Amino acid sequence: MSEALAPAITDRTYAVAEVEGAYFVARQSGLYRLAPSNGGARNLYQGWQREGEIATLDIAMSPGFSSDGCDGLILAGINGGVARSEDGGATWAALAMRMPAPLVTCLALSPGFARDRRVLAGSYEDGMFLSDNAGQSWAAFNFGLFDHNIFCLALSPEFPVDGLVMAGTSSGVYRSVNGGRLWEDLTMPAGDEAVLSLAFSPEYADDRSILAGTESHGLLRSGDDGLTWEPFYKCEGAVNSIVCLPSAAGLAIQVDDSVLAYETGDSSWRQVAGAEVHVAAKSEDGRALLLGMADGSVQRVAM
Amino acid sequence: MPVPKVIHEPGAQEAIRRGVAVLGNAIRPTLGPLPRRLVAQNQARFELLDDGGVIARRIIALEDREDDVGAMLLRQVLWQVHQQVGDGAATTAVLYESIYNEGLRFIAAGADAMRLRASLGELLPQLTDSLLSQARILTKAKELEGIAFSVCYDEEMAAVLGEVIDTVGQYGQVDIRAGHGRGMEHNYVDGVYWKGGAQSKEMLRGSARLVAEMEEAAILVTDMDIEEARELVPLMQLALRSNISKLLLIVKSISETGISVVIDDRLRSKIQTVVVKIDSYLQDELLQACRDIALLTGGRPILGAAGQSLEEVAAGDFGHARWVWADDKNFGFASGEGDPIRIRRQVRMLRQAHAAAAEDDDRERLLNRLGKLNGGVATVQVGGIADDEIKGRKELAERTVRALRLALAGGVIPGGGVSLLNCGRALLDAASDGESPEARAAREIMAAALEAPIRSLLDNGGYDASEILAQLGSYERGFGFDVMKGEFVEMAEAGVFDVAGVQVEALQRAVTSAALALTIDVLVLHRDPETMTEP
Repeated sequence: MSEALAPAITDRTYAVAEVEGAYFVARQSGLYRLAPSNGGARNLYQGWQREGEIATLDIAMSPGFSSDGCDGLILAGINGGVARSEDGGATWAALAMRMPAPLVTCLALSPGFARDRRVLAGSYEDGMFLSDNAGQSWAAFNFGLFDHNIFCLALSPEFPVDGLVMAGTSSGVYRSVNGGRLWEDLTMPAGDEAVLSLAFSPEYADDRSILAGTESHGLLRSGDDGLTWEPFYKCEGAVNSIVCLPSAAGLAIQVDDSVLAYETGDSSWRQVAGAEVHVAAKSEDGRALLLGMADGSVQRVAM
Repeated sequence: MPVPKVIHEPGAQEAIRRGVAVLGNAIRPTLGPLPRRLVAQNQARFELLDDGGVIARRIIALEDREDDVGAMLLRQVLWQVHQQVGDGAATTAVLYESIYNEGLRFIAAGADAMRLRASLGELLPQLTDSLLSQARILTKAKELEGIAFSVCYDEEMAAVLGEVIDTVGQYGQVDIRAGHGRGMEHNYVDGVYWKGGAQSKEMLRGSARLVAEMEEAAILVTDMDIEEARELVPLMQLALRSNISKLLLIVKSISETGISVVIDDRLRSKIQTVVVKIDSYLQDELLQACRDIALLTGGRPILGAAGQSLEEVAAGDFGHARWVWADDKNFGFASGEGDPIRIRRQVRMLRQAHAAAAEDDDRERLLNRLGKLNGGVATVQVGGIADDEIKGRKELAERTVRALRLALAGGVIPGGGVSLLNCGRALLDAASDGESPEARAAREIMAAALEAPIRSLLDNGGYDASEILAQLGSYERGFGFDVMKGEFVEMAEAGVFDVAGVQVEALQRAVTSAALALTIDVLVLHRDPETMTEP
């Protein structure tokens, strides 16, 4: 069952998130808040005095986000660093990470963010940045990271304890066991191929399972914190997104511009969306897929 | 004036024993977390020393020529251990002295020195395996801090260096410098840098800090001396044709006329060029630096050593980096555009070469190269009240870093002398009836020697070693006595570790050297031997 939401704004969609029933959509042309009730879309950068469109590649919002309350923290990965808003997107500031300003491709908040305030930002060409104050200041940490083109990040659900982070790069996957300061290059069956998406299993505490989506070697799985990998699903296209749903619902992957789902107990994958999908993510309640479509809309697919 | 002298056994052996005892007695009290200290006169000053390696360095000769032989034999071994792993000199001294003295006892009772030496050597692989079987890999920064403390016994230094090594890793570059404050400071620098600064102040013009900084710059690296202005002309023309507006040119050296070309205002209006030279005394190092810079930036080094010239430079030979800087002493860059796959392969190859390198110099050289390819640098400023204190703390920090790298490479073993004690007990358990008298003697010598470090450590802590060892026998393997807390603890759980690599090095050097010393029957003393500050 799917429903089309929001009007078409035709540019590239890079990330989708749902908070308080509203969708936040990161696009080439900016960051939008879509109201499902009336389908209206508002560019959150509207009042921000910056020249040209602000391409936004990823967003991260405080786990305690409340548009009416005191926690309205939104971080957006943009061409020029990280844009930060403390008031739900009403006002923004671009944070100087270093010179030249990086193109931030992915953001990840610590699962213990309320306490440790740690955020990781991956960039294209400039590697990894860490913040321990909710994105107010950043420092580059590229020790052991030979590839500075970061496409995706995933943090262990036990990150505050184990410090485990995985980073997908243009030449494979790296891992850190100290919270993102020192990196270790891992050997994968796909060789030096780009890793476009990463996800920890929702049952990670039991199965130690991590998934990696590659450019042309399908989906790979590790059962030992990334030390070894094996093919999990072979396909021709690029696995751009991985969405792990609660165990009963299974797993969905975006391969090129279509979405496949694998339900627990099934032996095969079924197609959920046929084409025109730019990005897939998990809904706020974790029970549905959110699909950022080529026409700018967001589709919600119940799983 | 002393006269030349030849001393035969048993006088030779007795002289060596006395000399070993003099140095051993000076160093043994420093073993463990509650060390006694030694005061050494150094020119007009007095130094307070509590490190076996440093003490060995300070004692460069004994007054008694005969005793001096044994002391210098031991000093040479301690120096090697100190240089190699940065720690473990006191353990080595204690093991060496025990092996030598016990060995002499068996020789006096009729054992053959050559066969005894061979038997001691034959035990080494078994002992090393036994030590390493107790090793575990470090996983937490806090554990590294504990290891650092076991080397430097300085809480502030242990906390800083534990975090630094946890951040930069086994191969990371750590620059330790004398600081200006009283404590320690550290920071992390993204990218990489080499010694060798901008070749003209003109190139730093316009910057208040006298640092030239360029974004999105092209980089060309060569091992050549540029003497004539005309050598640079085709290169600069190519750069102009390639639409390069910022250029870092890395050379071996450049003449004034060469510099005048690149700082010419007409050219500078089109290309901002900074010329730096690499400080390198060795041609091999220079070539490796050129290759590593090219690898990191995606360029091709232009090597005069390979018969290449600047005239044949092509547009594809320029490397690139997102950010480049140079001051009058150093230059560096971050986010070079080298091929990550090639960098990763080169790093793996260098790591293998580092692990296989037999010579200290080779290992050091490879570690430096790996540090440059690692993606960042940690700088640590070591402070103190007086220059002497800063110098001493800086040396201590360097040794601690060396030990921490070893801990990451080979893991850690239960500390407090427990691991060596376990090896000794296993050695006696493995004895068989058919062994030669010398093989049996070697086992007994080593069992006694492996008990000596824990005994010294307990003595130094003010405990009755025999009583503690008797009580320890009733605890399970892995337990030991924490001299700081004064209680029996499970050593790994309590975070009391030794670096496996340090203990292996100490054991191997002590056994091979002491066993060799047991075969010395004759001493030849010169009239006026030269005193060496370095063995």
